[in-house]
Amino acid sequence: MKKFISSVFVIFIIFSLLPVSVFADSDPIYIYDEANALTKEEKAALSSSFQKLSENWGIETKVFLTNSPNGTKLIFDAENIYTEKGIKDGILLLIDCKAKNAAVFAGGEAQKIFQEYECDELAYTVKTTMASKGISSALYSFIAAAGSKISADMISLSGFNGSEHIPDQRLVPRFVDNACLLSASEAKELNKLLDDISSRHNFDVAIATVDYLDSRSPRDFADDWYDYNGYQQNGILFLISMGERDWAISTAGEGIAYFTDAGQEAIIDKILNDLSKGRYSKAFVAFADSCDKFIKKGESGNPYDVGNLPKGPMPLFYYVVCIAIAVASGFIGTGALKGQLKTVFMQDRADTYVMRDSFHVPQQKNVFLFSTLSKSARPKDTSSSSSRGGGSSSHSSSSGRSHGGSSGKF
Amino acid sequence: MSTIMEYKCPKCGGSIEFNTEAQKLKCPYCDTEFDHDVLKIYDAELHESNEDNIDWQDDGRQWQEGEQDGLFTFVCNSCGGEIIKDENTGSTKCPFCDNPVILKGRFEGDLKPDFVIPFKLDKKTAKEKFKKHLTGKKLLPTVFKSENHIDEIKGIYVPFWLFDADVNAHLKYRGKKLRTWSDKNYNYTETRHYSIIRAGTVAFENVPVDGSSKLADDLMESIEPFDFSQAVDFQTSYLAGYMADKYDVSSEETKQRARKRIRLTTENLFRNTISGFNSVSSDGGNVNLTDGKVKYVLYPVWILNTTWNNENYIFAMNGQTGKFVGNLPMDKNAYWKWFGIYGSCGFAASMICALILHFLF
Repeated sequence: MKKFISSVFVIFIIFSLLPVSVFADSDPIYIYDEANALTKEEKAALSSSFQKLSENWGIETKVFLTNSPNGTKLIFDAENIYTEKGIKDGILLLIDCKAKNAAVFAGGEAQKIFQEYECDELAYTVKTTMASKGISSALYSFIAAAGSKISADMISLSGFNGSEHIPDQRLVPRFVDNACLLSASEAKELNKLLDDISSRHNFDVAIATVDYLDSRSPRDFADDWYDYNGYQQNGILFLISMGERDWAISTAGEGIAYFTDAGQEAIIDKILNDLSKGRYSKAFVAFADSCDKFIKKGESGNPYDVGNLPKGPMPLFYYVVCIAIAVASGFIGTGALKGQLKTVFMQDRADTYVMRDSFHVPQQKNVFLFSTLSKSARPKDTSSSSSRGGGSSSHSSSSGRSHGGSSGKF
Repeated sequence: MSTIMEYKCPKCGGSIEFNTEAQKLKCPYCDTEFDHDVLKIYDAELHESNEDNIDWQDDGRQWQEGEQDGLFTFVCNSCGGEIIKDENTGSTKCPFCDNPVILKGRFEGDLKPDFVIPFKLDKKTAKEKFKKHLTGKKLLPTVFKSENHIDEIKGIYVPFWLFDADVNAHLKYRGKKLRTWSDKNYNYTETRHYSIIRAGTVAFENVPVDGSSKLADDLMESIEPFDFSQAVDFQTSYLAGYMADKYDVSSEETKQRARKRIRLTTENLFRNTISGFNSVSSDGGNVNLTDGKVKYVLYPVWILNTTWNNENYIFAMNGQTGKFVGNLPMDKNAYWKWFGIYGSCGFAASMICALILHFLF
């Protein structure tokens, strides 16, 4: 009996350990924190960022934090740990927390992207950021820098460059969520909405989110995204990059006319608050609805522009004034009715008792005494804000196509 | 003893009353009208004795002998009001507070009124005017119209002091004329200051001040104006059928009120002769009144007292012109109902304007 129970117990323990090992395998570690330099929350957040970076482009990116490096040069240590941890086609960032030193090693396919000098540059960035802002910030800056380099190179490697061939058909959905900001259902709803609007107007309304832009400006990035993803002749793209917190609008074809500079400003004004506060789904849906309105207006031949912008709901101020007028009319009306009830007054004057023809004013003098002059300065019209005449500005992108658009920060 | 107050109809012997429509004494029994001069003569002949020939002419204000006969003073114990009536005139209720009056004694006033404006409008008219006064007043409680003893409307002769005055005024003012213009950099305002003088005269006559403390001054002032051109020399006969109030405020005491009103009218008249200025302000001066004659008169007033909801309401109608006044109570619920109505209309109108303004501009 005792033997039976103990064997069952052992089997049970083995089986309970198995899932642990399975879980251990399915959840790869991106941050090895042997120096305990990060808090649990920082580690979790950074881990997910490294995971995304790695999975997006297939370049494994890992970090090793230690207080006591082995060898003489940190870079050799980095190579050792890279091999030790079995990283393939990836980069390892090794940080000596005590000495405030860093080294980056790239292996496999990643060596094509990160040559030695580029690794040194990355390491230097991490070192300086670590010195001024701490380890957590240093790791984020590493992600941004590495990510930019990887995405830029990957795009150029796959041939999205120069006057390359613009696809005939759309290659991606109208809503692309590389930065994983929306839930699956929200993304589905948004795509449906965008498809609906686009099909009704023969116009592409697209939204894209990315984690980081590469070396290109937000404007160029958005233009290229629109062109090389095969969106149609007429359209508008709204792109946001989480890393730089940049947004960009790119318009093409009829979109340039429909979405004037003032119009784009109005649309962004409406959604900027939600974007900044992280209410992405709300902002994107509002963007799509605004586009719908703008396209309709543009099709009518009179696109929204300076002095001709869509009206929002009536401001609260109007309601307050209306209520004030209502209360005032209430008092005035009843005041008049109340006045009807009172007919007894003292008569201040004796006008009716003036003897006729007895009123004479023989002495009437208006004597001029002196005059004074005062002057007040007139306010100068310094800068008039809406002195623009309106219209849409445009430029040509790398593909040679003409685009309109604008960009900014959120 | 001849009792002039009690006129007997020569035709039927009934007691004659002063009829407002005809402005003559009329016998209510046989409908014959008489000029009171005629009746006087008739009466004199009836009673033969002419002992009251004593001439008191030098001071017209003294009662002729016998004139006060037939007039009795009644006093109200509730409010202390005293009224004069002939023994035949009905209604033993105090016109000021609706309580019964009791006979005090024969009337012995020190002053006889100089003039009287006889009643031009009768009780029927007074009742109609009262009803009209209550109509169209949306905030008047509806029960007020029904709960009323409108029949107890009484005609009283109210004593007034009438003041004449010659006014000499010398008034000073400060006036400003403005001129504005602008150039590229500044807005300019030039102010020219003036000293303005107006001096002249104006005369007033028959400015009335209520001589009875029992009747509220504002009530009596509200039924003005009385047209003095219709006043006649006082005869006791005019009192027939009506009550009269005794004066109990002297002309000295009431003079101030008259002066105040005269002064204000004068200032206003002079001020209105100034024109062409952007702003005018008073800068002193003086208004001198030279007092003229003072008259003691009786003016006809219809009075109604009523109590409602433990509050006393008094209404008065000018017995000559028909002007009807009297403050009315307010129904609070009606007030808020109308407040809501006006408020919602105001709200709706302003909302429409706001929507138009917002969506069109």
